[in-house]
Amino acid sequence: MKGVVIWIASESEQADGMADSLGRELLSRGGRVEVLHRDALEKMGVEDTSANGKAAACGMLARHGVIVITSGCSEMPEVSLDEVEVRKVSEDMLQSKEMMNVFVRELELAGLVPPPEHDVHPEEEEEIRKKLSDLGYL
Amino acid sequence: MLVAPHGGRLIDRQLEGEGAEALLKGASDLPSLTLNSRELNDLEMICNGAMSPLEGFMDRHDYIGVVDLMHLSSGPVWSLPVTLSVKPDDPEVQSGDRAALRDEDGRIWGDIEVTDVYRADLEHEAEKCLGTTDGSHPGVAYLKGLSGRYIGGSVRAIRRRDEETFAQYRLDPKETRVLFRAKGWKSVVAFQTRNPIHRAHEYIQKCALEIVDGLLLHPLVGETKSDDIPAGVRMECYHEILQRYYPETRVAMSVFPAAMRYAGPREAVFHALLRKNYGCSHFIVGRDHAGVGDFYGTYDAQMIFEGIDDDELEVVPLKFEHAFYCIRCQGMATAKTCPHGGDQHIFLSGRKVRAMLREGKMPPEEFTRPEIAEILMRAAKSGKENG
Repeated sequence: MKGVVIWIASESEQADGMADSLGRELLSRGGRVEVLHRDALEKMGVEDTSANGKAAACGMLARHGVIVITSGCSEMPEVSLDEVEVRKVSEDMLQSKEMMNVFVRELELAGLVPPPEHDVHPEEEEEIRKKLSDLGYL
Repeated sequence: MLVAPHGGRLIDRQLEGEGAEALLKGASDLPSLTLNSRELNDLEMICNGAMSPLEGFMDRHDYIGVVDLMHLSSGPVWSLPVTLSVKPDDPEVQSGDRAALRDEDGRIWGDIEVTDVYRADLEHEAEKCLGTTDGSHPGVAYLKGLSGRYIGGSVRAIRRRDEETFAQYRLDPKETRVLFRAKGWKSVVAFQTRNPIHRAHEYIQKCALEIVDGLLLHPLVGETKSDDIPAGVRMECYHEILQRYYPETRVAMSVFPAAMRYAGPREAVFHALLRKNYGCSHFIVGRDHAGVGDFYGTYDAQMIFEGIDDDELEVVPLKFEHAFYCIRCQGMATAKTCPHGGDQHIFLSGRKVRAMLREGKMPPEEFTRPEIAEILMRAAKSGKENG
């Protein structure tokens, strides 16, 4: 799977929470995910935590197949992210779980994030197994 | 791990029990759109996930993308339009409306959130998707009977299990996926047919089974041409032969409730993608797959796959040549494996077989298993077998 930068264009703390939430969802699907807040950059030793510095760091990770989620800057920087897929999303577009699902679904269809690991919920799988058994398939 | 559904996840928009009751209650006051037989088949296939990632009938963006470029507007490869046509007696609907979906007898089967109503160039659709505008092609004839306006939008469907034909064989994609996992199959080949099974089919299926974990026999039971062998007769043939000649632990049979479009190459890709949603990693493409008359070249349906990236398709087409019994080889073969001439080969056309059956003559055992010939002969005598 190729990498992607998901740029949540907002400086609010709420956007950081959205980035974390999105990160957890994609991690649960087995994706290679990094959520890059300002402090994460500092921990990595990145001195330039401006939008340009952040974009450059995101780009480097995404080039190696990582799904990078970042927030904290309302505008995309001017730094070149050639050959890196970037999806900019506003805070408004991730307000609810339902809206986040729509956004993630678009990424799924574009082949940028993995699908959910289970195509059938474990409880439903048990019911189906019983049906298959009753029908003589198992 | 099984192959992922097309577009990443299985769509499930079927309602049963309280959900179905709520839909019925809400839909009874809505404007109603009438679905023809093919559209009803499509509604079922969209809502049970077989047509994932589709969540409804196509809007103009998907329609144009599919007709002209074989891709949905969201990116995935897709080869045939899945559309809902405006009928003469339909009420006017527009984007934002919700409407009930009824069959031609007025029974509600689902609802639609309309997102688009658009005019389509049906001649262009026929040319691109069917490769012809000749009205003697059943797919073209179907299009010529439409209004030229389509309605797009996401749909939901009511599941009425107690009324379904072949109920014991009707497995949704999520059910076949559970079945394959339970059997420990990681690679599964699907075989689609709208014909009774002859030795050539059996040979191809068993060749394919040599390289994968399991075989899904997936006969099409949706709408077909009136002169095709009825699905009930075909199912009886398969049931008989499975019991006698196939290893129980390696084969499963389920029905494929799609309508035939007779779109040849485009439909071969369509069939492969839908079987991927059922959890199949491989799909058998034989001679003139989904063809009709002389509209397509014998191997056109195999060649179309060469123009599609493997990464996009994620289901492997297994391409087989015409199979026959060779007297000299004393076995089933194809031109790839047999050096002998046609005079040594036993193969009968469908027309010839039907004529023999009508006259009460058994086809040779090298062509058809006797158990199958008996079923076909019985059907021919009772008038169930057409043509």
